[in-house]
Amino acid sequence: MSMNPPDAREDGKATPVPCITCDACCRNYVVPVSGEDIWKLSTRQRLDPSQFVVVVPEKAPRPDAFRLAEGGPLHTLALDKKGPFSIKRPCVFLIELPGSAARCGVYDDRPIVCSTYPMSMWSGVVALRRDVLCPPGGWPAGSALQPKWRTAMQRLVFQMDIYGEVVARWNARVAARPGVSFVLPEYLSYVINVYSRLNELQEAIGPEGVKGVVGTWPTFPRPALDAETVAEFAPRVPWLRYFALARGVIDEFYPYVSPLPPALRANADATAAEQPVDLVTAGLPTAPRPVSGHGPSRCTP
Amino acid sequence: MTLASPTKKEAIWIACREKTCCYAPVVIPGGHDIWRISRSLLVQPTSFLVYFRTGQPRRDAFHLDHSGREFRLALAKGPTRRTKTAPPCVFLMKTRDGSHRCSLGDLRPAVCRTFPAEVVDGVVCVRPDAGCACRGWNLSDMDLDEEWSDLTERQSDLETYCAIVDKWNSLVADAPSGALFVFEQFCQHVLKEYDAREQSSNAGTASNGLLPPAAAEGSHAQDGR
Repeated sequence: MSMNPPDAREDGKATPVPCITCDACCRNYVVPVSGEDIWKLSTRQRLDPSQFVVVVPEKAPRPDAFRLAEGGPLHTLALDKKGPFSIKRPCVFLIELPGSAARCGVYDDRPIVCSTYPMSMWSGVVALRRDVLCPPGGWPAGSALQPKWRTAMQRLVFQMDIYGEVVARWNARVAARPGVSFVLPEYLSYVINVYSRLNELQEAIGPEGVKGVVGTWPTFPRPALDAETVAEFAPRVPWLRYFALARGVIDEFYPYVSPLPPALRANADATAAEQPVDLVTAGLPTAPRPVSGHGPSRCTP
Repeated sequence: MTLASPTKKEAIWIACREKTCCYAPVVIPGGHDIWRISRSLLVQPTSFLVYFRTGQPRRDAFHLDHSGREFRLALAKGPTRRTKTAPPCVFLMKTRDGSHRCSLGDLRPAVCRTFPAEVVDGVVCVRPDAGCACRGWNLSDMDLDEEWSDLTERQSDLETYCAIVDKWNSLVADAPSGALFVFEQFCQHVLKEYDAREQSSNAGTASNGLLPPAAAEGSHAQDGR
């Protein structure tokens, strides 16, 4: 278990963080998990996913929302709580100690949203969320500039994008079998299987390669991409190449379902004139191609 | 990052749902365990320890005044619940399906890691009072060399701890008559003594001395955040 809570001794210098005496975020949110979070916790803690995730009903479509039956309700997955499930209950993994702020029991394997809290990122700017539960003034001016926050935010968008592809394939499989009701353990097994193979892909690429992919992963605002663009630019753009490889892994499942267009969310409203950056330098086409997306994106829970 | 496979004993530990041992009334961690948990989780020992009066004089019993009362410490328990059984260790986590896990993981005390093995007259044995609900342990479940090594290290840490307690008791004895000390002060003394020992033994090495080398490599391989 590495130093927990975070940053207390980064680079040998004491960096003040309010987390040492606060555990509000561990007690007051429904914490969404990506497929990679589930796989990581399951394999490293040697727990079955059913032992630490719960199903959350979703009204509106989201990239991580899955169905268990065609035309049925949407669900997402979140971390379980201790005792009766309610938003203001402590996380199931929380170590509660009398006379001390609580500590995370799975710190090295914690979900990506736990790593990014309380920061957010939009248009390349990493900053403190407005609605945080942290003690007022707890985060000093400029603390969002520490590189680890940007790294975490990049990982968040990366993980959610890949998970979106994973979920999309499952939903297509469900849609291909109308009248069949699938059960949650099947969905969880699929997630573990897919991420086991995605982990092999990451191991083949190596930690430096993965770091480069995650570091250059496009964040919002960004153009929509279709399959042709991905295929055309993948050889020269590392993150696109990874995306194509990951899709190759995901598309091996349920072969009776044709490969889908990329589910990558885009800032679909932006026209070429409104793009604040020159995409050519990123190795991408200059104009976003119209795509039916899910609407404005959300990088934060 | 490839995962190390659990040892046979670890696999049994992970698979155990009951964790009867974690419900034992008194679980006494070693001094080094207290230091490791406190320094890794950045919590004061008083947040996860309790202390109790012990009748017989013991080498690991500390004083808090000149009355001659002896105290020992143990892991704190979780909050009391309206059940027949007493609450388990404060670090025991329960999942919704009724299964249990130790939330300390690799940080768990040596007494927990070696359970239910013990050394009797130079021989590694299974404690007869293990109290496991679902299975009977036998020596083939363990790597005897590893158990011997862990148990020997535990014994060695006990000697270190007793020396630290002895030093504390001398401090108490030398204090002016009527002086009173609190448990927290004893804990701070223990932490400082181990800090000093770790600093002198780790001078020049990269490890922070908190975890055994294999686990430390794993945690340092993580991204910054």
